[in-house]
Amino acid sequence: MHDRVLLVLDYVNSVILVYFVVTNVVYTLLMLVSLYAVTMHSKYAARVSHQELLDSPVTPPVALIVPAHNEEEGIVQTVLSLLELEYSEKELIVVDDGSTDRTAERLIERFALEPADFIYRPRLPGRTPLGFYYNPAHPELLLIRKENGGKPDALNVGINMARSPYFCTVDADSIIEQQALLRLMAPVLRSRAPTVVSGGVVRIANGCTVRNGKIVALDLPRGWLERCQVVEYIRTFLFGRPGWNFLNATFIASGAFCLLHRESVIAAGGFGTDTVTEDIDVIASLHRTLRAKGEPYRMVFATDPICWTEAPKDLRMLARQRRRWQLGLLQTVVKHHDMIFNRRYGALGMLSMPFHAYIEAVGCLVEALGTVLIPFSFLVGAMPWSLFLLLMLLAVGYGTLLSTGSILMEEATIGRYPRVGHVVTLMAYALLENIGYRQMMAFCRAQGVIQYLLGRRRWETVRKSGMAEAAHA
Amino acid sequence: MPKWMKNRLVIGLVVFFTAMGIWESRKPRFRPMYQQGAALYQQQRYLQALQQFDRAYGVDPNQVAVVVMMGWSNLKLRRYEEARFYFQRAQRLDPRNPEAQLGAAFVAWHTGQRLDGNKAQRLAARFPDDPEVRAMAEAAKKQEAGGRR
Repeated sequence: MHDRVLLVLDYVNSVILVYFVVTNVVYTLLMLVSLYAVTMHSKYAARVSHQELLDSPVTPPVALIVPAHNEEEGIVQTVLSLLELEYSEKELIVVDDGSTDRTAERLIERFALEPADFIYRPRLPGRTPLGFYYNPAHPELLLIRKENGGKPDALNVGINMARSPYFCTVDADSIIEQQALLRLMAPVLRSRAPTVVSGGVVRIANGCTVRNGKIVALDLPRGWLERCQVVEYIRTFLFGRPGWNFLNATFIASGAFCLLHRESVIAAGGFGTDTVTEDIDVIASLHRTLRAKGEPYRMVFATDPICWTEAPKDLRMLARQRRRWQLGLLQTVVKHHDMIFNRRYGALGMLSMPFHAYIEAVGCLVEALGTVLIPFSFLVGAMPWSLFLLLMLLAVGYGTLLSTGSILMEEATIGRYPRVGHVVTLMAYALLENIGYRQMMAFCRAQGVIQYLLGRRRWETVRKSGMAEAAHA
Repeated sequence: MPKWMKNRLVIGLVVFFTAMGIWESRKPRFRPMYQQGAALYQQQRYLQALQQFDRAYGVDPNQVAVVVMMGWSNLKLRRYEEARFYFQRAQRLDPRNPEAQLGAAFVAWHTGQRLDGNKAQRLAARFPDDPEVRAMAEAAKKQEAGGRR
């Protein structure tokens, strides 16, 4: 019996070792590609004149679609900030997805909106709108009220009402930097192939001072959990997505702030309601449709358009968020499994999909298991000291290296944090994040996978306290 | 065939875990050799035990248990230099390993080197039923007393 247990331990430890080695090799390659891509992009971004883009007659109009469900606290702030975005021609469509609070009323009162008759052509499936609200004094703004049908349903309704060739999905609790939409559009205009997706960076606004829908003072949040998330977001958006974008194998673009080509999305069937992460699903559907048509296309990711969002402040909400993300990612890779190791999809099928399926979606189980089993194996003497050290180095040391590297890269390229103290604090948290926080997140993500396997596939609501408080600060 | 069995994600995972299983099963294991060596050691067939431990050492040179037994076997065969090497290596791998500490102390005792009295006492406390350890501790005590005089 004892021998069999040791045999199983040896097997599991080998799996964990192979997983960590493969993961770290992939991350290293991705890091090198990202480093090159981010450097190139920042050089390009420094040269581009955004005023030129703003004045250019070829800059296409964009519809900003804001699905909102029970967002009465921050919706006015968000709309104010979006109306003030620097962009020549934009429409702002707020879709009130059956809110039970005063989300719609707040907008109606603040912008003196009145019921209006508009022609609604449902090109994508979605609940029929209950009403449209409009004020000629704010011609860019349109409010749609509908029954609750979920975020993808609200987005589909918004797309149906949009007239612009591009639309940008924006979360109702986000704040977008004034030039961000122009910066998001810049790579689209530069690209030689038709660009169907342009993704931006999402950063954490906790700790920042918000006034009239604008961030007026940048600061780090007070809590350790939020600070760890700040480091995590920087790493994700600087050491991952730019690399995949460079390889033309984008699989994830954050729905909090993402520009999409309207007709392509309609051709791909819009936002699906069968996963809880519709933003990942729509990217996969776009790849599928466009590859099937054999049309050239490009999906881009830029590191300078920044959208600020509020991160969960307590562990319970953070765990919910991560479980949902993991569940959605797994749902999406299972749904689009035929793309995995499929040469037809190029780098996406041969590299990005396997990475997201095996390392990002399922790998957390190995990571969580390793967190428990490695120290256990070592303590019971089933693992030699040298292997224990190697695994710890791979798990913690390498993660720290990636995190510190991404903070330095952020500072060198984007450099949003104004004080040296901010950078020093973030560097300290780059180390702390890998001791405790990352392991906790691995457990939360593993829970998401287990939820999927148990058949619990519902959306877990993440309650946030809202950034509105800061607005009055 | 159930639908999930055709899923590439599932197929990939099955392939990976099967490949790992095959790799693991083909990997030579130190444990059977170690256990054989331990059995021979119990039978006081130290030379044959050493050969088995040597094979186990070839498979996993970082296994402290194997390294320690290499030390004990060499000590029993009065190959003190080899025994010292293995006990020192075991201590480097796991500085807190009591067997490695004990082995190193025994080598010192057998080769007439000076013993660390405190360490010997600690080892005697740790292995109270072993008369040889007690004898070594006594010898260390005497050495210290002699040294003070």
